[in-house]
Amino acid sequence: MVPLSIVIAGLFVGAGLYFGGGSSQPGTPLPQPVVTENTGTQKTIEDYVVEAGVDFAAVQACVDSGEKTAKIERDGQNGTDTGGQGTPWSILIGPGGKKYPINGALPESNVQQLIALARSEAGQGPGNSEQEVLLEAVNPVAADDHVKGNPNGDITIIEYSDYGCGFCARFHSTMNAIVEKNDDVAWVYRHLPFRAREVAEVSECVASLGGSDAFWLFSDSFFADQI
Amino acid sequence: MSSAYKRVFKHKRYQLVVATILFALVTVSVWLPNHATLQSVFSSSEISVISKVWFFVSLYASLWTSMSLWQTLYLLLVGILFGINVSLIVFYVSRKQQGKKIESYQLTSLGGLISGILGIGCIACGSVIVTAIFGLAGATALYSIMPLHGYEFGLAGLVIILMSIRYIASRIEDPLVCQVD
Repeated sequence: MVPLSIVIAGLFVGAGLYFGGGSSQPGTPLPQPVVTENTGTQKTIEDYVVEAGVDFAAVQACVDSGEKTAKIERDGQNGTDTGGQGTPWSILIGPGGKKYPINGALPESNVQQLIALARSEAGQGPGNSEQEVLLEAVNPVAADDHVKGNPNGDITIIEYSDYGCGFCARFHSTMNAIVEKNDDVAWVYRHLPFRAREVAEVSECVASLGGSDAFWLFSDSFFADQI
Repeated sequence: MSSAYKRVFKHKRYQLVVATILFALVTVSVWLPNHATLQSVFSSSEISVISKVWFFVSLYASLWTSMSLWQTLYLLLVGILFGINVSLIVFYVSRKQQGKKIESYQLTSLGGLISGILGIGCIACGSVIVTAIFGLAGATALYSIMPLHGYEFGLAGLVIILMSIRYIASRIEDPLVCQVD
């Protein structure tokens, strides 16, 4: 039985190393510029930019200028300042200002339950536990943030995400469903780019050149192919 | 050596030990990263007890959303192996009635579990425990200098647990006799 256990363990570990690979660790850049679609075909970053209706040469020039670097660094810094230890990391802000952490790609049902909790605790403001104090460091929604859903909604979910993280792709899909089903939710997308910093730069340039719709077209399309 | 496993696991209570340890490890892996959220839910006076329990239970679905297939399989494998290991130790100790004496195999087993848990990755795209200990920047730096980017922990954990299982199984097969000096 023991030799069999070793063989099985070896198979699991080997398969994990082969399929998981080093590329699933923070700090490893996403292979550029080719991205494999879940359909088996391949697309480049340029394809996503063009699909979003933005000129790729202009995006390239924008990325090369480094003009979006500061915004991305500000997002990332705020993500870690609020207690984010990986991606996706999100903060749900209730009607009264009380904040709830969402660590990782929680299932849609859990996010819905937290939204219901935030609604029922609408009268409660910020808490004073250690974790809640950290959450208070979240930057208020700014003009250059990317917002989907109802920007004036009672509930705000600020997500810190990375285009190179498969779990972020799953949570992106979850959040799309959340804003579709809840007309009082504003979803704010921010960057915490441990792996795909270049894609974050591209997305900011797409937003700058093509507006909010182009940003969401780019992001939705890119993440859909990473699941 | 397989007779040692048959002797131990013909008892339902040892099968239950494996199942309990597996369940506990999965629960810790699912709840630990979300402890702050669970605290918010648990301490709320605005929602019913049923809603709270349902939140805790439904969080198990994050095994599929917050872990990859291989990470989930790895977690289950570590849980099962550690459960087998603990069952063998309990059987061996109770048979020899050694009570509180801590032997090297018990420490080996504990080391295997700790190392194995360090290898459990999930929500943060990396090891939960390592990230918690070293912080995000520290964990990222640690992984970047490791040849297998952190999989070493999991690999070492599995090897140590398997070594411990093999050692205890062989001890179980030893006859209980008085040694001749």
